[in-house]
Amino acid sequence: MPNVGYIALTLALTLAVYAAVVAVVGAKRRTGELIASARNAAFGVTGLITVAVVIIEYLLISGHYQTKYVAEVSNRAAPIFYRVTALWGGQDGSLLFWSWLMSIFAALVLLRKWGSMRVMMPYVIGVTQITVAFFVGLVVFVANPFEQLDFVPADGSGLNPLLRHFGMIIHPPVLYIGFVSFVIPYAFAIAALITRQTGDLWLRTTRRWTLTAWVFLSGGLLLGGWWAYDVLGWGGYWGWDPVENASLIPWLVATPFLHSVMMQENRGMLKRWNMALIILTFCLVIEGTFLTRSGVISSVHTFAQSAIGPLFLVFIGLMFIASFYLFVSRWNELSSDNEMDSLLSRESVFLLNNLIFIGLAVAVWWGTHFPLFSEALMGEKIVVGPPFFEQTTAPLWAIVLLLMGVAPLIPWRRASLKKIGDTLLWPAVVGLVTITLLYTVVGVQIFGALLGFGLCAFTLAATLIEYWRGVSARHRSKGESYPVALWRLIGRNRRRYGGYLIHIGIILVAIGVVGSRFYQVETQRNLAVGETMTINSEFIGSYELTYRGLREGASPDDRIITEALLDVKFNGQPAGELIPTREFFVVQEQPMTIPDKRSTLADDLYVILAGWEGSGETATFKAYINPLVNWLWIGGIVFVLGTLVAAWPASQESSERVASRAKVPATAAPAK
Amino acid sequence: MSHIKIVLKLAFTFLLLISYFLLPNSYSPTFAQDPDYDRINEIAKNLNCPTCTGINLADCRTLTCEQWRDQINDLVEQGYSDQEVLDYFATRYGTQVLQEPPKDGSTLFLWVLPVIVLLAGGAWLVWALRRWARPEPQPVSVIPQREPVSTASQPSSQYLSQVEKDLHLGD
Repeated sequence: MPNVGYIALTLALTLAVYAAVVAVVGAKRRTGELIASARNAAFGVTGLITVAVVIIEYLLISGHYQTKYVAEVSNRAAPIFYRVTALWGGQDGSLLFWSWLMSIFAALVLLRKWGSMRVMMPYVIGVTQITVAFFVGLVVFVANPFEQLDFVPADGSGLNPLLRHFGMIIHPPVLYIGFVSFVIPYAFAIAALITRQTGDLWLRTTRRWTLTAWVFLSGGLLLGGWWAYDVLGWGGYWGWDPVENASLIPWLVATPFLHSVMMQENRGMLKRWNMALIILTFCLVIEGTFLTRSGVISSVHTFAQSAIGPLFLVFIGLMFIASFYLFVSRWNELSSDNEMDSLLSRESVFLLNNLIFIGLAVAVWWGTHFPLFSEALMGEKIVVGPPFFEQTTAPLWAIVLLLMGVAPLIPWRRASLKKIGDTLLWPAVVGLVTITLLYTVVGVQIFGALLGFGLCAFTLAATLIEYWRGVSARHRSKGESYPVALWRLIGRNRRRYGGYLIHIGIILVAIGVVGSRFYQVETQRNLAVGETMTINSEFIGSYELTYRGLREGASPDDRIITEALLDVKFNGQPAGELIPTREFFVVQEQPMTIPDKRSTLADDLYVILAGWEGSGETATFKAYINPLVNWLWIGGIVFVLGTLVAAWPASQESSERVASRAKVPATAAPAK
Repeated sequence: MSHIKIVLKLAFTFLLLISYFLLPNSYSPTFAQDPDYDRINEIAKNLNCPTCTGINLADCRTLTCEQWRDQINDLVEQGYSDQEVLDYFATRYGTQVLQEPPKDGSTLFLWVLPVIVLLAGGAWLVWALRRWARPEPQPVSVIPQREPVSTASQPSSQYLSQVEKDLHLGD
């Protein structure tokens, strides 16, 4: 059985290489049969990798422990759910999963866009299949999940305990889908360069793919934060860890791309820039995978030990050089159709937004990679912790928040100072009033927090005013009631108002971040049974935690679970109980600290069991108050909703209106 | 050699016992008192866990970190200020133990580069905007030539034949 899987992968590799070569040759010679053959080969690749995935799943579920990978990530005690998801619980399986997703996307785009994009398609096949071939090649030659042991172990060692959490089960697939689907816009960009179709056709064709990739990437980031907060037990959700950063960096380049494509679609500008951004995004996606998969960040020495690292580096290098060469060779064809009309315009605000995001990406990339450089060049591995990332990115985040409020209010092409002043007046008033109230009435004294909340209020007001203007115009001109007007307004221009909804989601996330970052309180106490500790936040109130005792039990899947019981009082009133837990995974000899929380919209009381003496006569607890932290997750949901609105297929009527409004009339590609 | 050690140990223990009984009673609570965890954590937050990556000393639950935190406690009880504790660790284990690399010496470049990039980007932006904003009337005829893609709007057969033409041109 495992041999069948391995053979399927080997065939998939051969077929992917065949597809890539034949597609490009077919396009050069304009031989329809060759291109059709490449297309069928691409479908074949998807089919063969699917066979391999089905087989590895079968081995995981049936517990075939002679297969090394199965023995590493699964065991007899594992429930079926964790057996299935163990596919991405280790290196080899993750890479197979990656390849599988990518081959599926490649096949999907062939099915959906074959008719409309005949000229670019061969090159799209070429780019996607080369990438698929690289990953399948890694799986076949370096990280083979079908490798067999010489003996049959009685049991597997089981999934890493940290991964046994719902958030961690869905976080990798979501993030992977985000990562992988950027191959589609990248492949079209490269195809556009090769075929010299440097207009906005490739952008319009891939707009929904890009948006989908982006929302999955964002969702992956948020889910990762949620998992860390729920499982890792350090009271936070983002630690600027290299692995987290590796997924944030492509996001920081993809986000300005999503914005600056509007410049190209509306004004025919920034063609070079957009091309550069999408190429960079995908290179960073591959590089991020490399970082997390090669273990290079933890030490350059592990890099040398694993064969994956150097191979990845060669692939990234080739990909980057080829893309860059193409990009430069089409430089003149990528010049702008239009000149800038005025410094005061949406265009210049967008450019500033691009600059800030790239600045963020550079800062995070540099801080993440600095340990590597310092170890290689100075022989001393400098650890770059959160303070670096916070200090360098905080001012930039603030500017992003500001621009998010300003940009939608400034018209394209040309704006007058007076008009801008008029539209920004009310948001500015709201922002300043918020700051004043927070300072005088609530007592927020920290500059960063005041600025952050003020900017959130400003941008929220600006965004709501945009909704209001549209709704009231419809109400006046068409006599619709307000809810109907809002519904139709969004329905008629999903991209715009969905985009604003995404902005609102981001503002809510920002509120959560500012609140929990600046006003987190923590305290640690050693309590004997019956003793009480207090934790105070000047804005939230005071919690009293009384230690009731420890109870211990074993679970069927080889865990020793130690639970501490705490009675909670909030401002003197009983407020339930919390049960922070320590789980000890016997097989892996790994402890896990699982916090318990009392969540409200105002705050989380977050408690972990840090340790205990004897059979629990005394125990040490660490308690946190995380103000406003739940707005982070609420914002995340709003954010995803907004993206759904923006990406939802538009009706024929409205897409025609959008197309007719666009500057270059060459855009009536049928909406799909 | 080992005899001397044992004698020294005994002598030391004896001294400890004596001092315990002789010293005023008010001293004993400092021994029995819980360590000031909040202060220790506050300091430990600025240090890296020596064994794992990407986690600070305050949040790490390994035994090594426990010992380091005990060490912080000892220093704090000896009257070290927060900064002095950090300096103590930095001189002993190198600046790698600090969460925030110092803004001088070999790590200065870490801090400076993002600023340089941002300034360069800002300068480029100003330059580009000025160049674009200069009212330079462009001959209109240039645009269609540069834009072979505009044919994409036409029915696909025409569009394809145009591309065919382009491909021939390329050969």
